[in-house]
Amino acid sequence: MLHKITHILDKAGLAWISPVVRLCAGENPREQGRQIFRLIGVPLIAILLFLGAWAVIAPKVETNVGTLPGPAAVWEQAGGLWQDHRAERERRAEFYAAQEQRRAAFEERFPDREWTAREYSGRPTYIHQIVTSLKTVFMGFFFASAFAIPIGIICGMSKTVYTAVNPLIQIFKPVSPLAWLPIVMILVAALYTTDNPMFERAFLSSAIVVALCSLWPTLINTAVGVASIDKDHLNVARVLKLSWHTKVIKIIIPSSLPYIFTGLRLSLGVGWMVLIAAEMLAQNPGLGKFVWDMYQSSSSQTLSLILVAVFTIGLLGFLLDRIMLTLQQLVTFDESSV
Amino acid sequence: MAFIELRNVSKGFGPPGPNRVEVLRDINLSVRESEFVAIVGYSGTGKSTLINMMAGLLKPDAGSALLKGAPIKGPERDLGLIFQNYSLLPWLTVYGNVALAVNAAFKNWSRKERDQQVRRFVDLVNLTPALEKRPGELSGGMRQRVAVARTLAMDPEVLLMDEPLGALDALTRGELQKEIAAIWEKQRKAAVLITNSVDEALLLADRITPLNLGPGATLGPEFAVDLPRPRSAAALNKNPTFTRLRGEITDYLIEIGRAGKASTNDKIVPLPDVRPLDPSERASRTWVS
Repeated sequence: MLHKITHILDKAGLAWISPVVRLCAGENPREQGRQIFRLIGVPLIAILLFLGAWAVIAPKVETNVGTLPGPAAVWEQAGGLWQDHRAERERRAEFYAAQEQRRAAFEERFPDREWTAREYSGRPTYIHQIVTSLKTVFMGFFFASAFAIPIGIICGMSKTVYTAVNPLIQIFKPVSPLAWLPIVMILVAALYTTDNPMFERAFLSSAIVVALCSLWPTLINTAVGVASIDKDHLNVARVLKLSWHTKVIKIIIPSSLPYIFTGLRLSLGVGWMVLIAAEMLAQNPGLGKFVWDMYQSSSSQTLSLILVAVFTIGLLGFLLDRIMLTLQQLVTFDESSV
Repeated sequence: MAFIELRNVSKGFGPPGPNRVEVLRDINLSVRESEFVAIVGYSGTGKSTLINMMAGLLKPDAGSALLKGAPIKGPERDLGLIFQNYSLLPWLTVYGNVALAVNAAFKNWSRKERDQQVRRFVDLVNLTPALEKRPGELSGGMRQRVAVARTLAMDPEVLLMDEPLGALDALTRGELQKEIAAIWEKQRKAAVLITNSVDEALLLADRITPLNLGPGATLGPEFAVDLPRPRSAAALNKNPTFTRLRGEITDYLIEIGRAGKASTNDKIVPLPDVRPLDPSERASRTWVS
């Protein structure tokens, strides 16, 4: 049982909790104490040192929007943003409650007439912006995966295709999101012309740029994974006379899954980094736009709000990476068991 | 009439030139229906190459591999190959591994028939309790049983076994030999066993052919094994025919082994004259400098 819990924690990238669990189970307190100090204490000390240095140095840096904010000011702003969100949510709830009352009264008076409901049109709060950013990055990530995994599999299966595609990969891989964005925005404006758009153009442009920049790690890793499949497994496919379809589904994809997930994890990381720049320029209402708007407003809170965004971006990126790492470890089979 | 046959087959690897390795030369082997032939030889002499040509995984450079008189163009359902290293798919369960073969071989069967076929053959190798386990959770012997079940479930006409028990410990090996013998006696299909164990060959085969040493290995003389079936390892040990055959085949193998060593004697590669440094010596030298 204990072993199982610590195993799951290890898989989830939370190995630093396992000594605490072991300690709670009463396993060798001295050794666990040392482990806790090494895995939790040391990082904690490092963070405290960082915060301390920041708090000391920040007030000494003068800018045209005041001194650089210290940790306390940033923390306060984070709280403020959360309060804003709560207040906004309350207003929203009030709005709908009031509308519901009006609707009831309306239907009583005019039973034969249709009531038209209104959407609450409050400004997006910081939390909404985070959600938008996450949606955008996942949309882009989805586009990237949907393109890169099949192409990667084909590249891995055929040396000819790989040789054909490789120069294109090498040329497009290093292109910055800032170079893609104008083209994508123009193309989206020209091609995505529906009266009732499912997605906003800014959202779509940002997502496509994320996809363009983040598909390469997945594509390359998938190709490498497929190309390095155990020859014995391919012989099995030959001896069993599996159809192409069965071979891909039952042998090629499962055995390259660890590589594919490594690629996906890298892709999501790249995508998250690219997203902020894309949102800034495309004015997609996410974290990137938040940072840009704060920069434009240049009030005394500008710097601390941007720093809140910086930490949010960092923490969310870390979280996304952890999720992908866990998924990656879940799909990795025991290599020694072939 | 020969059921599966190799006719004047030669095979080598690599581009023409000094790097080319001729593995097999002028191989003639024919296996009759319901005959069990074993090929014994040293490792690295091309035994796997030989059986891979019979399985259709490799094409002969010269000569031809024939199944019932028709050339073998590639792997066929009738050619059941059991791999040396099991080659199970680690992400599939025992059931899944066998089902992969059954589904590919019997596409027009109903789902229920295929399910029954899988279960029947898993049961044949006594693995029903491990039906939902993955290869990683099984011992080496159990994994090889799965591989046997996978091949047999396709109902091939020829059974090709490439050192199937080579990676197993002696006890498991003995047990699986018994099982393979029992299964073969039930089905009586043409079978070719590659092995490095003379005892194993004598226990299972009707006929034993040693493979000479390479490069350009040829097949040696045939030894007919006229021992009564079913054979048991314990009973065979007291059987004079068994003892004689084992002596003859082992002598032959030792003889070609010695000849092979003698033939390589003339190309001794001089080794560079290196001596390990005495650490204490080195330490003192460092001190001086």
